[in-house]
Amino acid sequence: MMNDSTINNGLRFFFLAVLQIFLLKQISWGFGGKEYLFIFLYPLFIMMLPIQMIRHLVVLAGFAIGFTVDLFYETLGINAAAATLSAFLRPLALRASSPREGYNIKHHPTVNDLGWSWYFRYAAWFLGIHLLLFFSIQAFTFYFWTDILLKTFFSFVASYALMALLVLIFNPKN
Amino acid sequence: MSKIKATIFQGGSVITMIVLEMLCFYLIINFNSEQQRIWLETVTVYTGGVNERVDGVNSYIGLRATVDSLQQRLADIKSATEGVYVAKAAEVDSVRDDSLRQRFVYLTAEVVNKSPYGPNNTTIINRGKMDGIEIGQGVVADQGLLGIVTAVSGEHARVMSLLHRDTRLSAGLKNSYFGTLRWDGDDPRNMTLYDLKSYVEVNPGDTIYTTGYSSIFPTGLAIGTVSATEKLAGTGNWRIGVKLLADPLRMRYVFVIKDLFKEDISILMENDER
Repeated sequence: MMNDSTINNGLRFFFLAVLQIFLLKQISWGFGGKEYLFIFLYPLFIMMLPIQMIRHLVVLAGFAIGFTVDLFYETLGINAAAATLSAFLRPLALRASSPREGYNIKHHPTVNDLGWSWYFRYAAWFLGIHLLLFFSIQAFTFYFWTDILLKTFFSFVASYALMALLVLIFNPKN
Repeated sequence: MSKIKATIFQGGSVITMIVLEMLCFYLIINFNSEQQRIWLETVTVYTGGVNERVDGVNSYIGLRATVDSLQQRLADIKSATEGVYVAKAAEVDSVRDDSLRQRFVYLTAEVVNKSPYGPNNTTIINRGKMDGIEIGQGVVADQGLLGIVTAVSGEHARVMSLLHRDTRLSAGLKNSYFGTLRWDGDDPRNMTLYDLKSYVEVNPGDTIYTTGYSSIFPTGLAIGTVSATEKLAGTGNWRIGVKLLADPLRMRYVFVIKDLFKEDISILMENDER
């Protein structure tokens, strides 16, 4: 059953993976000999999966994009683990940013359907959770928790802004 | 809180998530060196004690094989050390291509049976005719001598220990004066060296070696050290107490020494007798 939404999500998978792998992988910034700023836009794919989508599939889709990115980042399993977990926790972000009247069955998680203020809250929650998970898993220990928090903060600011720009430019309908 | 819980767990994708996460962490640990290092260190910290114990048990289980292989290696090394070669270089010009020929080879063996301790001690080893053991071959352990083969069956051989009243062993000092080593049946730590001329200087602490004037032991194997000296009245010989380097009663892993020249030499001996 290939409807518009399925095709769009498939295209987003491809587009965001390519963007992440070939462009954003090059970008990093830091100080004191350490890299603190990385840009991750592929979580947008998980964010924009249909709200009503079966959760098993959401989790699998999260794993798929994370694993794809990992293959090219040569960090096998790290992005996949973070993406799987944040895909699993997506309902938390959806609920935290839920509009006053709740989601209705026709809503797509887009600016078009739910508005910018909703988008900014949702993206903040989802991206925050994802990046915190990612850098924690990457460090693989909470011993360097200051590093984890710094990386999460800087990467969050940059990724958040670029992600909004991307959504503004393409303004997807579903 | 319960609302958050409900939000997370409704729809029941927990199993999918857990399975995928396990896969992810498997990948992380196996394909990322930094994370692997942290993982291994953590594992080591928490399981170190257990591992140590398991390791201890395992090494005990594997001890047998380890000892066997070490014995084999030792036999190889002993078969290749200088003492087992005899100098064949003649004092002529010409080629010296076989200046050293191997005379003795070592074969690993294990003590499988011992006679009850008494004045005539014998030992059974687990090598026999099948392994090329013959009567008259010497048996040594890593640290000292055990004895001489006196009987051979298919798979086993009986060794007359140094601690046997019939043992007569040619032994001497580094300066090649020699006598006969015997055991008087008393103290398993000490033997006695007879027939060494009393004009030879002997000091307590000197090492007594095999002489190699027989086909039993190679030249220069250390047997023991001089513990007491006494001039035997009326013979012109020393009576020297020799403290053994190793206790023949406690040897377990041993080597049988085979003399490759034995036949060659015995031909001459027979000719001599005629």
